Amino acid sequence: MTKTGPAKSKIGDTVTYTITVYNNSDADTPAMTFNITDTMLSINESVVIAMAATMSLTRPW
Amino acid sequence: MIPGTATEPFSNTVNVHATVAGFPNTYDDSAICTINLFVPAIDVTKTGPAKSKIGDTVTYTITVYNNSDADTTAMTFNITDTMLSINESVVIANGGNHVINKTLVIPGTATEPFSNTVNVHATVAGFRTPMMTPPSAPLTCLDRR
Repeated sequence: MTKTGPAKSKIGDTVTYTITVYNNSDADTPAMTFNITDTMLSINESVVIAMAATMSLTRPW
Repeated sequence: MIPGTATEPFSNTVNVHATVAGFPNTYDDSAICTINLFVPAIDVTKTGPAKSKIGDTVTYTITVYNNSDADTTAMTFNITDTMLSINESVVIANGGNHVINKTLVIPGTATEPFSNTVNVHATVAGFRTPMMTPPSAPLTCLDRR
């Protein structure tokens, strides 16, 4: 999983974060459910991500 | 929006908890995003004679300061002063200042106290939120004798 945002910012700015979750499991792994939580961005969601797939969330804050 | 209470560096974390259908195994991961917070800061002063009278030529000195921290990228300052007919844009480096000297003949319509204002509007390259100084208005006392 990665979380990216601007390298630089300042107080009062609105910034955009991108969270990317990777399912790097091998082909034999059954379906996986990912619960993603981020207190600051008010994220709490469950998703099923297929093998070798990714899912991205973009949030301004 | 990055809050006023944010400290440098500004970091926050996302967590993921994964489960495999039909199995008790769980997998956890987290990722941190760290943002370098820069702190722009500006100031302006305007000085002139404490006393003068109608018809005198007085000299005003405007000094604009870039007091930003070292992480702040180039800032452009737009300086406006209606009475002194100033409207100029300058780039001032961090820790630097820009001085403008301008003369004015105090008009017959001037009233006591005779004050006038310079305004500064500063922007950081690549960022939208501007910074503005509180207006600087020196008072020149008119001696009417």
